[in-house]
Amino acid sequence: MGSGGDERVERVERARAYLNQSLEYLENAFKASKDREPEKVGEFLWGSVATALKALVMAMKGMEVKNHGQLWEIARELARETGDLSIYEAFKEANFLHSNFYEFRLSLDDVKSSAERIVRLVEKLMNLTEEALKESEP
Amino acid sequence: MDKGEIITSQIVDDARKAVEIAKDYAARSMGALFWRDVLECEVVKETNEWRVVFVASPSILAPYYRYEVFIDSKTGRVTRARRIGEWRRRESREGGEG
Repeated sequence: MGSGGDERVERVERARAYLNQSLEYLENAFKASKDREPEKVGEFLWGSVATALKALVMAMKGMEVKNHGQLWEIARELARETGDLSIYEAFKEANFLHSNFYEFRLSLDDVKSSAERIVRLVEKLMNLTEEALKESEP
Repeated sequence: MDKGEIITSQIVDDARKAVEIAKDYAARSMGALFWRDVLECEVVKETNEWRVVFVASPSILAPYYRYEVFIDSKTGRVTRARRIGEWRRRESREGGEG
């Protein structure tokens, strides 16, 4: 990334793109739920969490999350920093749903029981990102 | 000695090595987990130390800060380190610090 104003603009644009992507995944999760496709619901919820975390890190740090392992570190660190352990718990649930996409063992009810907590996590991440973006406005 | 510090002895004869030591020290002993950039790296002739000024952040929600670390060029040990102050994104190596 460059420096000064260019960097700020680029950071905000990238963070907004991740936020939009996260929202789109969330909408897809609701659609998949109506279609009774639990594995897709879980995968879209996971995608929504992962991209919301990417948005937050981009907004706060101007950094790209490069791999799956970093997502775990960031979720752990964020829970520690905020004192909100539900962040990490919901992240782990989302990751578990992600693995269900390949193993296909959970029912729609199983997935739905995690969905509420995961959606709350996405909302928290989006709110934190929006706050960070507001602060970075000139 | 700071918790977790490893006793090392190495001649620091180039800036890259000095930055590596500073980066490692920042993460282990200063809690600066998010490394961003090096602002200055120079030898202080009077004391034969490397002075590295860099930008890093201790956590996801915290801002970036400027840090200053001095490294003995004969041993590679960090002799002094401190957090200078908050770093603003508009500050840059090209634009100077305000």
